[in-house]
Amino acid sequence: MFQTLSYFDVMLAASLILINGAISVALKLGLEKKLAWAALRTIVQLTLIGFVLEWIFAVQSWPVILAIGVVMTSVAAFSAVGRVDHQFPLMRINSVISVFSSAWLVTAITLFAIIGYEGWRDYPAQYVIPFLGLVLGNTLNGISLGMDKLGDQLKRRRGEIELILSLGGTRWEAGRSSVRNAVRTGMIPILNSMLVVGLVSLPGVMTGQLLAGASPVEAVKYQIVIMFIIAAGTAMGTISVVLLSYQRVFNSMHQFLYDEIKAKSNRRKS
Amino acid sequence: MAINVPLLEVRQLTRKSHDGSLLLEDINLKVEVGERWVISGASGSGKTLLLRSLAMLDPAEVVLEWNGEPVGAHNVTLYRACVIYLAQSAAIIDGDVRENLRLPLSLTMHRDLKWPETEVSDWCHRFGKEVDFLNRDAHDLSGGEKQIVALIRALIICPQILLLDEATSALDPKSVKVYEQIVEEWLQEDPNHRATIWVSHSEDQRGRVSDHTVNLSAGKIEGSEP
Repeated sequence: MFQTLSYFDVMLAASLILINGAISVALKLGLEKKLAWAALRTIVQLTLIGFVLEWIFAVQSWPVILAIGVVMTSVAAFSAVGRVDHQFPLMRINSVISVFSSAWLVTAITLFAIIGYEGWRDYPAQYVIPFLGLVLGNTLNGISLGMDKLGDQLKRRRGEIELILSLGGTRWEAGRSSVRNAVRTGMIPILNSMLVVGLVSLPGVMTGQLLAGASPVEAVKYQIVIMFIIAAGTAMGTISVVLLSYQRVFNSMHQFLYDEIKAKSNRRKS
Repeated sequence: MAINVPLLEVRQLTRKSHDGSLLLEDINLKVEVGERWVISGASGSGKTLLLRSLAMLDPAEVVLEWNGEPVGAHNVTLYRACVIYLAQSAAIIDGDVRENLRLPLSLTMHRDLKWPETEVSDWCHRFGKEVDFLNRDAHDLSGGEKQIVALIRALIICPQILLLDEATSALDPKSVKVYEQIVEEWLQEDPNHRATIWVSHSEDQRGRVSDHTVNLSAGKIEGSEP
């Protein structure tokens, strides 16, 4: 049976962060403030989302679910490109287009085709939000890594790209190895986790289901579905954002618009 | 090709920087077959930009006609396969010299071209490079050797116009002579379809490789001769 936690239990766990604090002080890492801030944010953000979900699960209204989905997707799209080192023209819009189309498509396929509408129509919120969240979290990573790599490759390979163009190559011939490397890089984390899943750690969804008392075989089935939809979402999102960005820096005249890729200004972090 | 149509005609070429200032202003140029041009001017006068614009490598406002045909999105790759820009710091790809020379043959544009083994070894030999040169890692080449590779790579695809941007700047005087000779022979092989445009800071070289000069100053043509 599922064991609920008291607030005291949670406080006890929170005190474990003191170990990190002690290490930081002992080794003069200077991370105490950041740790405290991160711990506070973890508590506040999760508590808030707990209350929000509590309410959404109670009302089970489609407009509310979709609105939350839009907010989640937008946050994912903006943070996916928020920390990449090179700025491409219209990068945020490209990210929004890619995240929306990939995450919503695979989530819809999962819910309507794999699980089936019969199975979840009474409790849509319990299904839509966690599935969408899982796909978004991973797509976001793929896009971040892919865009970082694309910018790096295009900047570093300028000579080679212009050489291919100057010999009569098309923009695709000039840009394809950068595009390929970027997509490959974006997909590495999910490929790695598919290789070790179950061997190194039990993934979150499966752990959650086991804690909630589900049979391991049932939990595994869900986890397999999750791994594949995450992989599909990441692949689609990464390919989409990389190709859209490629299109912004190579025009129809097969010219490489190198100057359009801007190095991000070095913002000092406090 | 119709009679009296220039090989290359550039009208009203204007290039602006990001802040809107003019880098090249109202450049007009007509290159006939068999002509040997040189663009002269001080550093920063826009010579490289002009050559790159002639190769259509950067966005610019320009009307460019090649054999009487306007160059646009539909034929720009074919145009660039025939009007080749050779940069001062010759670009190379990862791999050995042979892979670098074979690069054009990997492009759709040149897929029907055959690897000209005899010509390649002849060109290499004239630069004093023997067969093992082709097996050297391209990243280990000197600046001058990269310029040699760039020239041979361009000649392999039988271009019509060579845009030579300080293309011999890293070569020793003897290799410079060989380079100029090879370019001249290439031009004379088919003077009814070919032309050269050089950018060079060496007055001697300008005298040797050109019979038409454009003087560029602050992005504008100050005069041309003859």
